[in-house]
Amino acid sequence: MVHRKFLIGILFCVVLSLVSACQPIVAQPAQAIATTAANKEFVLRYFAALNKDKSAATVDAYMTDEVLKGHINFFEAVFPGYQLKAEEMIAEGDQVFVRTTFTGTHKGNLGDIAPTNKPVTFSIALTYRIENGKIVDHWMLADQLTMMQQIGVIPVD
Amino acid sequence: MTTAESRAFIQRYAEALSGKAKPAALVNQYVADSDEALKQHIADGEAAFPRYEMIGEDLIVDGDKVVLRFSWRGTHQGNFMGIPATGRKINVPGIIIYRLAADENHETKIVEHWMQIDSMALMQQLGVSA
Repeated sequence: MVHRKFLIGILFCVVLSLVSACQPIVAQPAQAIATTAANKEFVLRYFAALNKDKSAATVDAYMTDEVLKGHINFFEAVFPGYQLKAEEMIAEGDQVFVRTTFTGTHKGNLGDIAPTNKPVTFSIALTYRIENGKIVDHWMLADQLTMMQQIGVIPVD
Repeated sequence: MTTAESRAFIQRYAEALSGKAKPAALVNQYVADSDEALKQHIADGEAAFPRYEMIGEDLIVDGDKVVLRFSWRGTHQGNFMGIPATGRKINVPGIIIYRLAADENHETKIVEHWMQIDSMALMQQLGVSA
């Protein structure tokens, strides 16, 4: 009896050590999923926060990307209180792509175009790189053509 | 569709089409009938910018969805959106989301897409005044 329990004990330890050795291989996909899920949730919280206010304090809480801060301030001056909606998100590693809808009203000068008070709704393709809970880098492509057509600067053909 | 399978498919697709002639028979190997719009889009692009390139700049893969950020390069040698051939070279940033699925023969195909290109840059490069 003692021998059998001893052997079972040894077998248990062997199996446990094999399982622990496998742990890093099994854990990687789970960690990757956890990161991308967290990043997607971050984007939703970020959009919700900036849709409420775009003060420096709020913006600074979500990013260290100075160029992005500049973009936000620029769009806010032209379309005060503009709203962003995440239509679709695709994430991998530390990047999140967001297919975004921008809605706003043209109330500020856009270059030499005086405010028209026209409403605009257009797509922006946005990719964020998120590190330590903040946006550190981004890439953006806005459907400027649609925006200009809605303001009335470019004719719709 | 695993992330690895999607990544491999998109790399094969880009290799097969970028900088090469894009006849329908070739395109049909990669694009399903459900995405007729993409087939038409490629045909229109090929007619206007023969053997145009899609230079991959960044790729994000998430299961059956792929986001490809690219530079679209070509020479304007055919009518494009009513603009007759100018002979000008274009180099325009863009981004495409592809959704992939296995067809009835278990072959991976693009079944849906969404695209944004820098149309302001395109118009400038083709010499069209805004």
